[in-house]
Amino acid sequence: MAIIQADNIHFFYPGGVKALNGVNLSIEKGQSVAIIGRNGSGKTTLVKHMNGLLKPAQGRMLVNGESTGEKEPSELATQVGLVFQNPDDQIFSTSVWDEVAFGPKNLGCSEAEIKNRVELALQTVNLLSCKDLHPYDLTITERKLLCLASILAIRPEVIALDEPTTAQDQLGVQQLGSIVQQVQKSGITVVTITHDMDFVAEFFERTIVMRKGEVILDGPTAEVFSQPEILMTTYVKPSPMAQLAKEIGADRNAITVQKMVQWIVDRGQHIAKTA
Amino acid sequence: MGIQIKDVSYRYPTAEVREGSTRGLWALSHIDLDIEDGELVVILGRNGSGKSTLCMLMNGLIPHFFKGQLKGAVIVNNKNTAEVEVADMVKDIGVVFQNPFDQLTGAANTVFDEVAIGPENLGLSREESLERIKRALDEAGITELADRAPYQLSGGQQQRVAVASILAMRPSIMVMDEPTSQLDPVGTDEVFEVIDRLHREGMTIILAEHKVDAIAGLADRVVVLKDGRIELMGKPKDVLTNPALASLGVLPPRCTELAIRLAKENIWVGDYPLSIKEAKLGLMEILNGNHTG
Amino acid sequence: MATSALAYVQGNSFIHKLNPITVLTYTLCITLLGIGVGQIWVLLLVFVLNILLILKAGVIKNFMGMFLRVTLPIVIPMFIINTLFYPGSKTILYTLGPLMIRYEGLMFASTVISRLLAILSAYFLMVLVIDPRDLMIALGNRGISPKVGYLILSTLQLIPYIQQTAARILEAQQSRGLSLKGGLLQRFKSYLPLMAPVVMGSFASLEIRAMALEVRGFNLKTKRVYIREVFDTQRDQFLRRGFIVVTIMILIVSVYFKYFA
Repeated sequence: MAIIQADNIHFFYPGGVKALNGVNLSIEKGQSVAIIGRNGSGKTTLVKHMNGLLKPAQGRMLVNGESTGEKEPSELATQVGLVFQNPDDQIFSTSVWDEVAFGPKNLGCSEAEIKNRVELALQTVNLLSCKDLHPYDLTITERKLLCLASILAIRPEVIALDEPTTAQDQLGVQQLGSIVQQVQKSGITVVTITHDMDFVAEFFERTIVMRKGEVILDGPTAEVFSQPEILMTTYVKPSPMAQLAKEIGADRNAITVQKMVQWIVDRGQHIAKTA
Repeated sequence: MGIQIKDVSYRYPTAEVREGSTRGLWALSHIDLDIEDGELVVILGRNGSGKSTLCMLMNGLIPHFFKGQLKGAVIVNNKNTAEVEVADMVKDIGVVFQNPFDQLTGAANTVFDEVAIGPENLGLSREESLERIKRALDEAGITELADRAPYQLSGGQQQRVAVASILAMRPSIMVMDEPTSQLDPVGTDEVFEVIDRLHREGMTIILAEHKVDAIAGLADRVVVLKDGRIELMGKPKDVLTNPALASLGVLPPRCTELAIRLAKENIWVGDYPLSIKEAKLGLMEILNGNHTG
Repeated sequence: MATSALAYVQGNSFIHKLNPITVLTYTLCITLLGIGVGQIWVLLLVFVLNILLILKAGVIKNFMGMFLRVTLPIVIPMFIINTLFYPGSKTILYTLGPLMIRYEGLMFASTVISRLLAILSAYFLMVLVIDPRDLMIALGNRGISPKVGYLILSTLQLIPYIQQTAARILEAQQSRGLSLKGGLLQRFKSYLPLMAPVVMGSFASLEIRAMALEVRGFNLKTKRVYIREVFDTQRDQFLRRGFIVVTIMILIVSVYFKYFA
């Protein structure tokens, strides 16, 4: 059973703007999925349906088989955790520890369980040494990770990240990527909205492309990145390596530097063998 | 003319050293940098390395706006920024910040009016203002947004409005602090195209960025900051291929990285590419021609 | 994407055609009345007058949603708390189980709420009907620095900004388990976490905003040349004088009746 399923979702914003126009998709447990597309193509709108912040005007959003229609976002928070773009929209505690502990406390966890979860969450994002600091003493990158930790402590089955890479430096993006991998290894489904195609290529096995409220491509990242003409219609491009792969006729799976190096080395050996 | 930054160190008024942090009190330490007229200089470095601080030195926001402690001198078009008011620098140098929303004045209900504010404040004639506004909108690629309300635009669109607003003032120097951080990939390309065109028309541009892939082909010079100091400076092909880059927390363009790793496998020979085009040329040779084992 | 914000709505009503300073004067006069007048019925009349003006300007739809969203969360709790718990309340009007509705509290709440309605409705009218650029030009024509115009405008912008920010913050908090269900008290507790992010965010924003203005030449000493013209007609001047005179008269009468009659 898919953990997230969208059945023909249509959605209008107040004022009549149609933000989703018949979206269908299904995400299996444990997948890592990137959603890309032009600003305004419906990515955030779609993700907000996943945790019940928005409800479809038509169609259904199913989480673990149940419609989100009657549910409050706070109820769905244990299944789908959404980390927003601006960390300062979420942070309100006076210490890093308290901020992360809020979620488990709200869930009614025991003292011991809270301690356990908070430590693990902070460790995952490398902020354990900052546990007593005031959030505003952290850098913006650290605050973003703090928000991620607060959601991790709730232990949802799905984590959705809204543009986690914006305003991050390159190493920050790498760090984020390795956190995503770690999180995925523990069985959590990860969905992200991003404009960083390298981030997508390196850490996300599946990519969904949106344009004007519709899904126009949905499949393995390498497959999606092999169609630059379609991507262009929604103002996105493949990762640099994917572009290069197309130019030199390389295997279309060579979408990261690592994979491209591998392909070239293998090809060289192959040619050497047949020479 | 141009910009001369002479042995500048700067400390924010509320600077404190945090335990366990490698960042010191000084946001910038002993910066020496000369920028010629018409140069496009890109500033790289991790968040917190001093890129934004360096940007705000150029038009006097530091020290006038931020107070704090400034040592050394910043001379822009023969004016010392510490001795001259920020308002007096406005004709020479324009600044575009990271967050588009905060750069909208809130004094205009259409994009056209928003972009008009700069020229109006400069006291230009109505005809001149109108001409500049239209040109700026066109250069930023937002002519079709002219009648829209600025606060109802997406982040990326707002950013282009911010760029157009400064362009309409036609400064000879533009400082841009991560102007594409909110934009989608093609939007990013569009802004870099604008920057490229302005550069070719003779504008001096200082650009703080993370997107190394995009700037590699644009920049005349690249400066890499770490902990408030200049650690590397030079032409893109020298800086972006320098092995010390990693220790500064900056990654080279993907194509360059590819070639570096292929060189380790003895597959790549010669200069490292900075763009997909250059990489393709090099790789086609390797794949079709001889393989050096 | 921004939801409908409280901002200027174009139109052709006679109100739209007035000089912005005239509308501004009206709003300031209403504010004075709202503070100085003690009689609830007068305040409510003012409120009704504002609603009529809003209708005439054709902006009632924009007004309604926003107004209710801003005032109801304040008005309802205020009414309930004061009616039940106003200190010094003695006269019991009605008993509802353990709760007693008292007269003094009721009067206090009603007065405060009427003031709020009168002043806020005028404020909203102003925001919906004044083109910010025209206001700045009008002030500029009178020799007032655009910075003053800007100061007024930035407070106008505060409402949609706070509203959008609050909405975002609410979503972020809900997403990590903050529940909005439950009784009034529960809702209060839920709103508390909103305060910190809004305040912190506003400060950071203000700083950058001030820098952005600086960089656009707001502090230049050169004479500004606007691309648009804003006219100050005879009608405008007459209306402004009228507003001021009427306001003073009403205030005098109101104070007389409150303290001397």
